[in-house]
Amino acid sequence: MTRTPISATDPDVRPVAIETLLAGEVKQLLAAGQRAQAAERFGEIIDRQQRRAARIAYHYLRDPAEVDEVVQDAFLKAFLHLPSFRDDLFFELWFTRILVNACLDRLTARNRRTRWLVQQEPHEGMADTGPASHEPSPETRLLAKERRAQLEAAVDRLPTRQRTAVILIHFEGRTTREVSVVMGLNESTVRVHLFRAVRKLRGSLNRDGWLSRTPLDRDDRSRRRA
Amino acid sequence: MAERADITAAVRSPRGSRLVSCMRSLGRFAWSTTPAHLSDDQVLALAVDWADGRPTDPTVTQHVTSCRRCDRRSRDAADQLLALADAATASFDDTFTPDVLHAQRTRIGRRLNRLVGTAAPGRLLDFPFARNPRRRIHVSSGGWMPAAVVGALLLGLAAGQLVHLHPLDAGASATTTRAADPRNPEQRAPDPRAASGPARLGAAQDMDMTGTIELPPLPGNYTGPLTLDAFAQVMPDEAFLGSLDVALTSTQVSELVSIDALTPRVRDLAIDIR
Repeated sequence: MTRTPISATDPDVRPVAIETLLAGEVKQLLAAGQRAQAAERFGEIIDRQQRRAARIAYHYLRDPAEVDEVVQDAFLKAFLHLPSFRDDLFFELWFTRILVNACLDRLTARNRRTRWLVQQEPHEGMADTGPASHEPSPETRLLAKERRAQLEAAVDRLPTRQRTAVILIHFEGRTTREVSVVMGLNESTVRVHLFRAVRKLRGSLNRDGWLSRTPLDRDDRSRRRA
Repeated sequence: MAERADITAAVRSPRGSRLVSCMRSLGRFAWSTTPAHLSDDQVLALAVDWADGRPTDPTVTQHVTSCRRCDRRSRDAADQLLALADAATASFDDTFTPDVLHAQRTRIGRRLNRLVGTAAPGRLLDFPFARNPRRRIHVSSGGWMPAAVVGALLLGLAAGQLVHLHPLDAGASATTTRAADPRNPEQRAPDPRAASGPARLGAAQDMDMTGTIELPPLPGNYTGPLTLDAFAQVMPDEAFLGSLDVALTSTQVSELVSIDALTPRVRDLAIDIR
């Protein structure tokens, strides 16, 4: 099955993001040898994409230190390979692909490592990073932590492609067409992966009783869906 | 028992059987007109489509609008999907506070500036109590390879010379072959097999650091090449084999020779036992 590349001028997708325009500028500056100006312009792209990139990497890795490294490396790799970026494509998708590949490489390396090392608790020490005031009660925090741990464990148990589909589409709000470009798959295949992932997630979370105690207010959710 | 027999008889009667068949037909009609509920997968697919803002299957949508139960199920499934996304995002927000993201942004900027060369390279800190700060040595990036090769060559030559240096022995010349006076048996090399520790030490001193056996001095001022016969005269077989044995068994580090001399050999012990 052949996959048609998504284009910035494609009417089916969202309008050209400013990151793509900025990337085109940076590419021209790099071609002209003005590396300092190119880095400065690229900084604007970083400002716009950093939070999203960190969030995607966090969904995969869960370890803040590793997320930090992967995000840094992904931005530097994108800057270095920007001369090969095609202006008619979306920078955001191109960059997401770099990031997701980096995350998957990390996961592979981590799995290799954990065969030989004793695995440590992933979130130990992270609870003290927030401010002390206006915090929920320890009980609520503990319950929330438990809920998140269950969700993260369920997401981690998904196969790689299903996990990528659910992270990018459900957690990050990308369309299946965009994710098909990121994953290099057909759009309908991405939908199948997404559906299977959601079904699997629902099944495992139902077993844990996760879905029976959703904390969101129903009206709030309906408003958001609308 | 009698009541049961009455009921059976009533059903088996022509009137009763007509009633049963009529009820069956009614049930079949009711089953066919009542729409079946959506399966779990259909509900989930609908919820996924809702969450992604994709158009849904029109027949499924029509059923959901008419069936209250399926509508509730699909809304619950969509709520659960939203709850998943919310929980995942909340976990990220707790971990990556704005301060953490800002620090990360600073690190990325620093690495980027270093990449394009606008940032200065890492500064070398001088030792705090050094009186005279040392000058930094700037090695051009292109010249270090030949310099390293030449340096390694010189080091290798020096090490080779050191390894082949002979111990300082006044009467011994390191590399020249000398012949012993055959008429003077005292000048012959001692037989280390028969010798005790100090005698073995003397045999060991005929060797240099590389374990080369030094021959006894040649008679007169004979400097020509040594034939096999002349060699046999200079060093008898026993002495040669003894020196060879010492060369093979003794340590080649001069500092340890004394310790080696004090260490009894298995062979010597065997001789003593006999």
